[in-house]
Amino acid sequence: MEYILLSHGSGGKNSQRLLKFIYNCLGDIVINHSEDSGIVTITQDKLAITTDSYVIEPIFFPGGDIGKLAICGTLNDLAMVGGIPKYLTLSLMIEENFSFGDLKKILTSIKEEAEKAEIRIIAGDTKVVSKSKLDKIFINTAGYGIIEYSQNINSHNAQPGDAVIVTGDIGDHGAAIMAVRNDFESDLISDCASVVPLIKNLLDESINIHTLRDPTRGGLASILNEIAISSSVDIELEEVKIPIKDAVNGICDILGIDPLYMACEGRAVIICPENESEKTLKILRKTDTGKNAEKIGKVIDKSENPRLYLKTFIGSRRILPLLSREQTPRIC
Amino acid sequence: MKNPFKNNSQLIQLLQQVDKLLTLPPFTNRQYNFMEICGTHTVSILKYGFRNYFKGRINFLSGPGCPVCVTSQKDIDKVISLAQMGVRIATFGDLIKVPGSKSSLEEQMALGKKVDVVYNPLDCLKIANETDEEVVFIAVGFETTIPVIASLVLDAEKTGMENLSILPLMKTIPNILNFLLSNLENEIEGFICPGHVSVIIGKKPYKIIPERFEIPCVIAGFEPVDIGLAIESLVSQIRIQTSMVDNRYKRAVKENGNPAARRLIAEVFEQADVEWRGFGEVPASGLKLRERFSKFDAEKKFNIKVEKVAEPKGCICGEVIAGKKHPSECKLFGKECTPDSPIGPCMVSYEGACSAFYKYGEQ
Repeated sequence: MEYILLSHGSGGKNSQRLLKFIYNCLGDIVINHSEDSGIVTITQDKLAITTDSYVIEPIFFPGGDIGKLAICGTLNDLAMVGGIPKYLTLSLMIEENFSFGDLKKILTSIKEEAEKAEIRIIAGDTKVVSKSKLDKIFINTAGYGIIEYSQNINSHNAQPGDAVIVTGDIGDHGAAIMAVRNDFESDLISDCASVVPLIKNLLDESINIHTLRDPTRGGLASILNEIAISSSVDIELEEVKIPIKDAVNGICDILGIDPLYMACEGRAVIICPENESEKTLKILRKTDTGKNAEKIGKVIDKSENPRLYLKTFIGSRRILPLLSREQTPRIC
Repeated sequence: MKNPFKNNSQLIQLLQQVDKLLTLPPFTNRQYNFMEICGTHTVSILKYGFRNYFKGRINFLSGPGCPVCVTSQKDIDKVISLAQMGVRIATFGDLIKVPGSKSSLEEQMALGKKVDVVYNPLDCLKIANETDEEVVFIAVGFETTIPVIASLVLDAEKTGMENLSILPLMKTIPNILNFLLSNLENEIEGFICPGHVSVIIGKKPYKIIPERFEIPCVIAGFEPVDIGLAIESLVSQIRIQTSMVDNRYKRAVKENGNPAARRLIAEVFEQADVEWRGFGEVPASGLKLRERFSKFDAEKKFNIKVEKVAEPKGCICGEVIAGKKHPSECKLFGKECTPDSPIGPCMVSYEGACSAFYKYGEQ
């Protein structure tokens, strides 16, 4: 059988076949095969729980696919509150006529990422919907992680004087996707990756992280605006210090899009005391996903009207506002 | 490859030279007004911080160089009316959000009308080939885009395509500058001429500006170094009391522009009096299809009739485009009118002065 049929979601024999196929692909990362619920023993006081749905187009992109994204995205959300991921749930919504070949590729990515992160899939669901009721495949994952560290990490905790650090180049994911959508030739690959190892290293070394966010939808500028508002502070970034690949700048220039608002899928923004910034960078740069980490700015002052500023490379200053809608490509 | 026109240490030195010139007469007493015509220049000047850098010394005014912004309310209504007729619309993305007097393309899309966003006008050939529906390309743009629109019409003719036409809303730069300078209340003391348009039209069409109006001009690119060079050129010209068209975008703009592209334009289109937002009808400032191609004119093909309408109440886009007012002087700016729910076209387009100022404005 090459393609998924509506009957694969009907609860009958074909459903059993599809489930078997999924279990075969995922192997022993699935720990609960035949019950209606997964059972866990909660031993810690503090847990992190998150959920996210993934609906990316195209589902296969340079540097990843919707499966990798669905695991890394949720792992990263857990890491952003200092949670070390333990279990994930996995929900697949599949369009009738989707190919088993593509499903296998996606499940293989899921398995790889789950194994790397040493997590298990504890519950899952599969739905098949009629043709054109959804686009190819949507995935929802929920994650649960344990908070073992004492740092008080949250968006309200950015303090005047703190350093703003980013773990790598900005905008790779968004630009890689835009390149594919527009048939541009480019070597760009998405930064889609788990940042859990990076964050774990920082927590293990007792870095006093004040605020931690992953700049996904809306990009760097949007999440820093949100932090500024939550913490009632002004933040200033230095344009020359923000790591952006020339290829990303190039694609953004063509499309009239600002890379500072482009989604990343394997980066984190860390706000920590200035006197811990050098140590933080050193720890981050030890790992491949953190080798381009940079200090890109600082938290300036408490503010009743919090703003994100950009010091441009000519030494001038402008605001980086919270944009309210997707950027549209320019026309001439 | 590193872009040498972006973050270049020589730019800082160049700006320091300009700083020095600005401490000398005649710059000592007041702020000077420069106008950038192209919307992409507006964005660069704000985005890289030039506006704030020269605050109090040079004031940058945005001119009529954003194709969406200069499209009149009446012309937008024509687009909406086509969509309402059930014609399949192909358009650049920016036009979708522009409100007409009663509706927008975005609203028509929500009501189920077919609208395709294209990056390249030639994509319309493929769309029209794959459907029996009538496809209309909304032909906005300046000299930069027009050669490709001309190619679209020629290809449609060559392949005998019956279901493709264009709504001609194209504008041309030279005569609008002439009109602007003859009618302007604010004094413009330097012009940054549009880089992309100049690639096609070359240097010659601007010569009237220094010759008749004695205003310095510079043709500029869009990277920070390009903007720095342009400002340096205008300031230097004013300092030595001379006016010329200085080409500081030589890597793209040849003296004579691109004659082949101009021939292509001339083969398909001829000059026409067209309506601009903020200016009304301006003689010979746009293009219409030549008689031979009139069957590709959607306005005739679908017999579009729209009433003349007033521009939205309170919106000063017309004055912003004419360089008479700054976006921040608009009562609607940032309140009722934001990129999320735009009232005027300057807030819709990425290159629009209001949108650029909303996004990149200084403190």
